[in-house]
Amino acid sequence: MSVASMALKNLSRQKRRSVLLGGAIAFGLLVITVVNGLSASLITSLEANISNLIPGHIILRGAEKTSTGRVILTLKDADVFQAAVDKLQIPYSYVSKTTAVQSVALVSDFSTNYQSLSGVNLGPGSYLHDKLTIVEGQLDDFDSADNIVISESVAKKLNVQLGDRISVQGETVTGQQNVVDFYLRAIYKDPGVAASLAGAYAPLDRVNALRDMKPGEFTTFGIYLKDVSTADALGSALFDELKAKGLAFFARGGLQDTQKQYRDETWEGVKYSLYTLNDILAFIKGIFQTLNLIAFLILLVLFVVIMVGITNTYRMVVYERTREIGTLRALGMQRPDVRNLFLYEAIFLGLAGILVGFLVGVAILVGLSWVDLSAWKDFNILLKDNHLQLQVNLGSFALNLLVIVGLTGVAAFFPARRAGNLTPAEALRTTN
Amino acid sequence: MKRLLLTLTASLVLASTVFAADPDFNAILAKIDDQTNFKKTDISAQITVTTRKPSEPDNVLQAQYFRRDTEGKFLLLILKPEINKGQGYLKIDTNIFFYDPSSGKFAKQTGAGNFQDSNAKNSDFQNSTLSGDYTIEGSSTGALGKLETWILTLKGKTNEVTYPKQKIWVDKATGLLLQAEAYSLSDRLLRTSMYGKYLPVEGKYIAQLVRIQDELKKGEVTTIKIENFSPEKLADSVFSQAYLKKVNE
Repeated sequence: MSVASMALKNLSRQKRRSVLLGGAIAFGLLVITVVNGLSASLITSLEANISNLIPGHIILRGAEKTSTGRVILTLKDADVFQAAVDKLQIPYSYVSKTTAVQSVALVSDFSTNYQSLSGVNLGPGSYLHDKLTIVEGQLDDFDSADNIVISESVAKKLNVQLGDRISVQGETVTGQQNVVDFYLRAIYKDPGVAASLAGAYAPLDRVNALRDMKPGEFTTFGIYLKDVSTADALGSALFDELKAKGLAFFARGGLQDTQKQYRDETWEGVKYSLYTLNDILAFIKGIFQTLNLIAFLILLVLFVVIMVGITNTYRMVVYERTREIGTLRALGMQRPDVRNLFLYEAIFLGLAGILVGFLVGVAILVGLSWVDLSAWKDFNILLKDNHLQLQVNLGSFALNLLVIVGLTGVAAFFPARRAGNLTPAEALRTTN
Repeated sequence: MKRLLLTLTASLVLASTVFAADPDFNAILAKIDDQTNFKKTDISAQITVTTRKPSEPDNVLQAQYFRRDTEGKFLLLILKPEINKGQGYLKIDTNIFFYDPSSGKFAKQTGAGNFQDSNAKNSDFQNSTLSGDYTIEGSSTGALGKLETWILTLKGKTNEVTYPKQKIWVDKATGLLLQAEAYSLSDRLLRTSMYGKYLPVEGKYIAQLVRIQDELKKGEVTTIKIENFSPEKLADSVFSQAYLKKVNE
C-alpha cells in the first residue's frame, strides 16, 4: 500500500475530525469563490452596459480656452482622427461624433429634471440604435427631426408620453442661456445608478443648436472597438500617433484630471484629451478590486486560524498514533515516508476542502444567476437581462488553491516532521 | 414759399418735441449701475432665498452676503439649512467658485449656473453691469403698476453674457430698475425678475426684495430678501478661498 493511499485511509478513520477541518477550509474557499464571482460578474455587466452609454471605448475631445478663461469643447474635423485609426488598423465596429452637454434642464408641462444630454446619431445602423434597449417608441427617422430619447425613470418624473414636448434649457458654449424644444420619440430601459452617465439623447444638429454650434460640429469623437479589452493598448497607440502628428494633448488621465487641467492650464488653439473606457471605470473598478483584496485578506486571516487548528490537530494525531508510528517504523517504513504520510493527509484534506468549497461556491453563483432581479431597478446597470452573470475566475481559483494547499502543508509540516523523527523503539515504548 | 416755411417750422417743432422726449438711454442704463453699485465701500447683508416649486415644500436658504463692487467680488456663505451650512460661493474676477466643506474642495461654476436649487443665477448676486454688458436695441414707455417707466430692450455686447436679450422696466422718476425679462438665445422668455423695496444708503440704493419668476418652469418662483444691510469696509481676506475654509474649521 502506498503512502498516499494510507493517508487517504487514515483520513476516513477519523471522519468527524476530517469533516470539521475540511469543512473549515471549504467554507473559506466558498466565501472567496462567491465574492470573486460576484465582483467579476458585476464588473463584466457594468463594463458592457456602460460601454453602451458612453460615446465610445476610446474617446477624443478637443478644448479651446478663451481670453476670459472659458473652456469651449469643440471638434470641427474628424479626418485626422479617422486617418490615425485607419493607419493603426484599429479594429472598430463604429465611430461616433457626439456633442455632449453635462447638465441641462428637461422641462415638461409638469416637472423638471436636470441631467446630461448627448447629441448623437441614433438612426438605423448607428451603434446606439442597436445597443439602447427601447421600451416604448422607436428610433427610425430619429435624426431627421426634433426627437429626444429619455430613460424610463426620467419619463416618469417628467410625466410625459410619446409625442409630448420637452423643452431643454441649457447653456451655449459661451455660457448663454438657451432653450430648444424636443418631442419625445422613445423611452429606453432605465440604467439605474448610471442614469447620470446615460442622460438624454437627441439628434446632433439639434443639440448643436442648443449649444450655438454650427451644424456638423461635435465635441467628442468616439471609437467603439470590436474587442473592449484592447481599449487601453489601442488608446495609447492612438494617443502616440496623434501626438506624433503634432496635435497638442493633455496628459492622459481620468475625467477629473481633465477638469483640473482645463482650470489650471492656459493654451492656444485646440488641445485634445484621450480617455478609454477603463479611465472612466477606473474608480468603480478600483472599488471592486479593493473588495477582492479585502476578501483575499480575510481568507488569509481565516486560514491562519485554520492553520493553527491543523497544527494542533496533527500534534494530537501524532501523539495518538505514536505506537502505530513505532509499528510502521519497525516494519521498515522510512522516516520521510512517515513524515509524508501526515503531510499527504493534510494536503488531501486541504484539496477535498477546496474542491467542496469551490463546487458549493459555484453552485451558489449559479443559483444567484437564476434569480430574477428585475425589481432591483436602481442597480440594473450591474446586471445582464435582469440577472447576475455567472463568472468563475479560474485564475483566482488556481491562486487560492496554491495558497491553501501551501498553508495546509506548512501547518502540518512540523507535527509530521516530529512523527518522522520518532525512533521505532521510542515510539513503541509510549503507553498512550 | 410760405407753405414750405410752415412745413419746415412744423417739422422742427415736432422733431424737437420728439428729441426732447427721448432721453439718453445709455445714460439711464449707466445710472442703474451707478445707483446700485457701491464704489466707495463694501457691503454686507443677510439674505434669505425662498424657492417655491409646484408640489414641493418651500425651500428656504439663509446666507451671509459680502460684496466689493470696486473689484467685482462677492462671497456668499450659507448659514441654513443645516445640510448646506458652510457651503459658499466666491466670485473673483470672472470666476465663481463653489466651496463644499464636506469635500473641502472648490468647484468652478459659471454666472449662468443656478444658485443652489433656486431660480436665481449665480450672476444675480454680483454688482450690476448692465451698461457694460448690453447695448440698447429699442425703447418705449409704459406703466408698471402706478409707476411711469422706460421700457428698454437690451442686447448682449458679447456672447458671454448669461442672457443674450433682456427687456427692462426703469422707473422714470428715480432711474431704478423695477423689472427685467430675460430671454434665451432662441428668444424664449425664461424669467421675469421684479425689484422692490429699494433702501437708500449714502446716495446708493439696494433692492431689499427681488422676486424671480421662472417663465419656462411654470409655477417656480424664487424670492431674495435682503436684511441687516451694512455698508462697512470689509477685510480683504473675506474675499478669498482661505476665508471659506477658515469659517468651516
